Amino acid sequence: MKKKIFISLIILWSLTSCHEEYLNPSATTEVQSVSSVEGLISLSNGLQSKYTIGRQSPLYNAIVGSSLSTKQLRVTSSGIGNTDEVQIEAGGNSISTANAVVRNLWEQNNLVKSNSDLVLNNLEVSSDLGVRSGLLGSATIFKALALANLATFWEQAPIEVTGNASFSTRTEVLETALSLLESAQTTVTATPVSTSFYNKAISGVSIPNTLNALIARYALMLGQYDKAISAAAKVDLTVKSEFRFDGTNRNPIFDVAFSTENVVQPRDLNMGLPDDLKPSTSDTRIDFYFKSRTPSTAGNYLGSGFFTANDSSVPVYLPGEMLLIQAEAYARNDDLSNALTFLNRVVTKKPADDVWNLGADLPALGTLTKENLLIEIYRNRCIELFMSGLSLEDSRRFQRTAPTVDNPAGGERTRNFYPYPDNERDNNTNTPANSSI
Amino acid sequence: MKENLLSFEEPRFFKVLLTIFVMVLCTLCFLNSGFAQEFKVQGKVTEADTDSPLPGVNVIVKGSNTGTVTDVDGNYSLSVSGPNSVLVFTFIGFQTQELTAGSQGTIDVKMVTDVRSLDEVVVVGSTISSSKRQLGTTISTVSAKDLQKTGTDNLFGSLQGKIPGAQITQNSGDPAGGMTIRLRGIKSLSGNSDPLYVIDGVVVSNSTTNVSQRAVTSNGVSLGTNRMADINPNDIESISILNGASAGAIYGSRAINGVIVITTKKGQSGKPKLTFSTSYNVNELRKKVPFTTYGKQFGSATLVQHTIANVAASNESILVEGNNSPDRYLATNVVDVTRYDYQDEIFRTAEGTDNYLSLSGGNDKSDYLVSTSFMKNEGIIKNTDFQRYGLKLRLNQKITEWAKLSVGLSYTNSFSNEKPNGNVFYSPINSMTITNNTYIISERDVFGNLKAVDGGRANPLSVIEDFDFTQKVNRTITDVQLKLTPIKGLSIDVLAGLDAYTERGQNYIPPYAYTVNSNLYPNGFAASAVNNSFLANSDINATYEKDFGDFKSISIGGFNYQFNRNDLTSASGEGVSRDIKSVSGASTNLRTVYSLDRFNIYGAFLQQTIGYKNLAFLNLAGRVDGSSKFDKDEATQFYPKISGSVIVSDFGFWESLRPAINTFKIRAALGEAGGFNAIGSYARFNAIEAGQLLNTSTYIPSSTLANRNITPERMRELELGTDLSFINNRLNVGFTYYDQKIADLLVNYVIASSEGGTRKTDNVGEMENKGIEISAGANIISTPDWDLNVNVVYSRNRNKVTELGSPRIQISNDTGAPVFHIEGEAASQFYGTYFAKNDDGSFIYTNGNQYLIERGSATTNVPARDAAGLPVGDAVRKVIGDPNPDYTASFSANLRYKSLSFGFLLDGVQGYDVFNADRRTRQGIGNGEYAEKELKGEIPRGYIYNIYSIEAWRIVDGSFMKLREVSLSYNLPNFIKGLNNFQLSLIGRNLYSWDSYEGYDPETNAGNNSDSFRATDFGNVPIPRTFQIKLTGNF
Repeated sequence: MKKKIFISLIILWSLTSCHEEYLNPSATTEVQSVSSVEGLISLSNGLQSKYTIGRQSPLYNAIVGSSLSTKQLRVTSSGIGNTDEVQIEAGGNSISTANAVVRNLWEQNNLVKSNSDLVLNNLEVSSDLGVRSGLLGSATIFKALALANLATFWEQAPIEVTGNASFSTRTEVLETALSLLESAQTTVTATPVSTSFYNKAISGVSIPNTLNALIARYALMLGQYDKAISAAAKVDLTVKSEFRFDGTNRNPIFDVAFSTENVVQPRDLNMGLPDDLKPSTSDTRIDFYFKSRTPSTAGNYLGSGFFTANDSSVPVYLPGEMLLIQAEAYARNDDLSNALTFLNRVVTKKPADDVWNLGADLPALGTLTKENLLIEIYRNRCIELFMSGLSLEDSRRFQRTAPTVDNPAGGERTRNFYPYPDNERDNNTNTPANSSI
Repeated sequence: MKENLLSFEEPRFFKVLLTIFVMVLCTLCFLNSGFAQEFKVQGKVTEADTDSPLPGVNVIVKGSNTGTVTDVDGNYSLSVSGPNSVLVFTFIGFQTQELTAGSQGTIDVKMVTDVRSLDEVVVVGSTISSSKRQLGTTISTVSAKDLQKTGTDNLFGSLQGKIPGAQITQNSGDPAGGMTIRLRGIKSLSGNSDPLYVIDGVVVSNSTTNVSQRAVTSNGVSLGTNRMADINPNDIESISILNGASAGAIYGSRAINGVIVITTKKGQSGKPKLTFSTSYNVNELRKKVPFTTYGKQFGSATLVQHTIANVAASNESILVEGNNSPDRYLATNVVDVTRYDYQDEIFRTAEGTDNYLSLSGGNDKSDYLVSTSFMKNEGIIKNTDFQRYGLKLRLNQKITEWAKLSVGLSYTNSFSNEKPNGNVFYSPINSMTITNNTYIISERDVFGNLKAVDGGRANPLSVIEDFDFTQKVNRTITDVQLKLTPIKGLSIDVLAGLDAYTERGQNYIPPYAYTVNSNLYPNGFAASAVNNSFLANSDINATYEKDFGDFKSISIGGFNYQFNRNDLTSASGEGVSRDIKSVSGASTNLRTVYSLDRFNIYGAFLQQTIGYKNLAFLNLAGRVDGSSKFDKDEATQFYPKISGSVIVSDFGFWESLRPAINTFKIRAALGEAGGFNAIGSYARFNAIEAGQLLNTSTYIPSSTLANRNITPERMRELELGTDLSFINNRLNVGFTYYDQKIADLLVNYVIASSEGGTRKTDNVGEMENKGIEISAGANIISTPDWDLNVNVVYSRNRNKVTELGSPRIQISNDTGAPVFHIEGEAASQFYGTYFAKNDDGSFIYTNGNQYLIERGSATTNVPARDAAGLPVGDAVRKVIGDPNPDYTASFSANLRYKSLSFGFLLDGVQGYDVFNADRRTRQGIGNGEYAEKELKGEIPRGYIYNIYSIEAWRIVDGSFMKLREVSLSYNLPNFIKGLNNFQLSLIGRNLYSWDSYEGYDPETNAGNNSDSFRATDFGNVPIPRTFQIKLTGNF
């Protein structure tokens, strides 16, 4: 009997094998996600989420970094916290290689870049060519934005996603972004994005217009003026292309800063311009971007603009930028008459005539020399495109007074390029030397 | 593959249960087969020193399941097969005695106290015991009496200072706050370093799940109560602590962090016995922090952060070197303000009570113990408390001479009222620290609402009065065990254990009546979270003992299976109403989370012990383990171990030395264990997280890259030790040295983000722990009237991360603490900026008396000097603090005179650094002690701002020695017949701390139960001082 018990015990125990594979019902895997059209659209939506949501997002850090470095913004709360923003504001050597704004700008843009490859490398999963156009257009926009951000804040950046990646010059990085955009633009024009893509994709970003707008923006940065003019001209200025938010996924600048008058606020009514170029008091764009021209506490200017509520949309580009791109490209091509025409379209634009209600409503400018024309274009870029994340690039392109190592506050910007973050340097032997200023 | 979430996942538990019942049925057939000729033995067991009766002594007939336990008067009686039967008398803390029954039928026994006797029997596994003599490894034991006069209702608290090799930390003074036990340092950088807890054979959970602090991002922290808080120390009979890998062959892959084996009380034969214990305690703040009430302020009465605020350059300001922050003009003019000490408004003197009642009894065939308990303890922060109801049952039934069934059931209901505990600026202490103390915080507007304080901060009283966080736990722990001794020398144990609990958390922050910063939830927050945890384990162990002349063989083999399931559902939202106090009233930022974690661990082992003349023992063991956490190819692992012990003093040649050195044992062990818990159940997959944006679905690839072929961490440990006793065994000394190497360490290491992620989890690391453990106990006086015992425990551990995969890995957190794992250093270093000094160690100053931060190359962290000899370049970093202690030590003494006894325990942690974020914040806000000095001109104006961004200023020495326990007890005379052992005790806990800490308490952890983020003070609740009066007795 005892033997029987003992034997039955052993048999009962050895009935089943123990190795199980438990899967996580709350997450999917890379292999699964790229195997269906729905998965690819969700990944493409995820790019916008990654790019626009939260304090670590490229959107927040590009705006805050660029605007603090060009004296458009100041750090508010006077002491504790916000150390990273304080360092960016001070510029020069104050920016540590562990700075969170710098690190997030680098890391999150690199991640958006690699995540977009997941979509771009699996387009053939969609047999519907209209959906394929949507995926291509959307993922290209975010990859281009990410590459261009890297090229805006650093002298060099890796293009390929790989271990110990090699670095390319910022020009090469921008050229890559531009060629990706041009190729996507060709496809999207030939095969328009279908409704089955739009039904599942986040609405707000106009894919065809944004492709052209970004081609214009980066062509200008690369000095390809004819391409910039033709692309900017193709953008439909009556259509908004915007990043949308809601109570859960909030406008990051409003959420972190403007909702509680904390972290960063506009420095003053100069909007980053030196005194001799500061906005005219009749410029109604001041009222668009500021809560009040006369703050209750002296000097405590509070921002408004595209950051007034949790669900305020942030434009991907502004119609005014397209006009100013054309003005600048014509001017640099020495076509001063066309340049003035496009500049004046911005200068005289009434808020009611702008799809975003943004307008200077100033009298038209008379004939200017090329040099003065460019200065006026720069001045209008600073005002029209306030807190758009483009000001650091503009300040360099228009060759505004540069900072020096000894006196970073002496220039119109406090830093030319950011240092590479520790995490990259510590783990990638190809990381180049930091820009000295 | 188990895809259906609703399918029952744990058939094995019930299979074992079924097996047990089938076997019980079978054995019942033997009931009528008749017992051998009966022969009765009876007697009385007394304590040799005092002649007082010893209840609860186990009396077992050797080689059988027949046994009993002495009653309250020390009497026993049982039936044996004949006069040649050998009776074994065992009792924890006393020497085991083996006596032949003989023909008289009466055996009186005097038990000899001998704390570290080699013949003491210790529990080494769920169903396996061994005499210390046979063990090649150290196993420390704690008995019920060590847990009685501790002044705490928390099991871990009652173990503080009593276990060699353990660092037991109370992370928070909240009554439901976390505590952690680390045996021989941390073992993993990815998973936890929490030992395995086994209660009566059931693997129980000590997980920390955040259900009541859902508003906090879990950045680097592990918030909440660790669930061993549900265990009532009153229920415990004894605890065995297996510190090392080599000790835990029975637990294999789960034993890398050590094992804590708990045995609960069981019934005793004899009349029903009622045991009770009741206590009342008072908790109070041990030490106040110096908030200044000096009625001055720089600049103006409304200047926020007046000590460091930037003002315009004028003749009433000076320029101060900002070091890692911009230089600033600081106000030098002083204005009058009124300052208040808010500590009086958030702390209170709190009360508590702990009551326990048990009924036990039985005969030589069956016994029972049923207990009930109620405990409630208030926190010293107003409106916080923790309460616990418990019900427990243990039944043992002898079915036949060779089969015994044991069933244990326990139910616990815990409930806590909580406040945010550190880490956020809306915790009671942080809200006080970060507000200038010039407001009357109890002032209300006409609607009765509390008013704003400065800088968008939360009024500390809003937190106390309005915030509502609760946690409720229902838990059952069940075991069914069958012990068979079918043939002489063979015993088989079959066990099925279950630990199931539900934690429910409610979180409510009402909208503030005033403006606060966005990170304080200005529109309120509500959340509801439920965590269901289910652990099942089943074991079959068989032991066969046989003598071959001078040699003895003990073979043990077994199978174990463990399954864990945790599922958490949480809903949270903001924009809540003042009327609806749940997440149903939330209007914005609604989030729902569901997470499911499932894994199993299974294994089989064989262990062979060969003993020679009870003098020398050799153990060989091997174990095969597997787990669902790893891919099939990596899942099965083999862990060998070898250990041996020699009792040198029992050899003939020791005869002449024996009067001087009574016992001398040498032991050595080499073994391996695995770290299956080091990694999440799905960590080997590249995960894509689902989310939503504007009502569309989003997939975001995790920024942590995975490797499908990761393998479990593996620890190899060498342990050497000796046990000695002197002066008629009245002085006992144990010494252990260990050297642990953990290979294939799983590290979530930093990668360059250009690789497509920011982190990667892989087997790239290696870590070691080396240390010594010394314990000594002396029985200095032992007479019927007087008794004096002293004990010393000393442990030191040196942890070192030898390989990391990247030079440094930051442990991100919200406290500003620069915590890094660094290759070549111990884990969790504070690595940050520091003061520039000359070669001779003197400070380098600027502007006369202002400090400078060290500068140089940010890449190499090598300091550099300019032509003027001043620091130049980027701020550089180095290791500025180490949260790993040099050593821990404790000293305890117990003195008894007749019925009066006095005892105390000193418990200290020495040579470790704390990141004191709060001290700095107080000075920057301007309500602290340095702010007062600056206002009074005792330190230069600008001192605080000047050092504010130098991280080294936040590193302080946290070394402390605490008067952990003090007790004075009196055994009342038996004034009523039938009432026994009435004892009245006055107990104190954490009465005093010898430290130089500028804060509440250096024993603190903002990371709470986190293993990697230690020793940071950021709004943590201080550990209270407790006074307790306790009455125990039995009928």
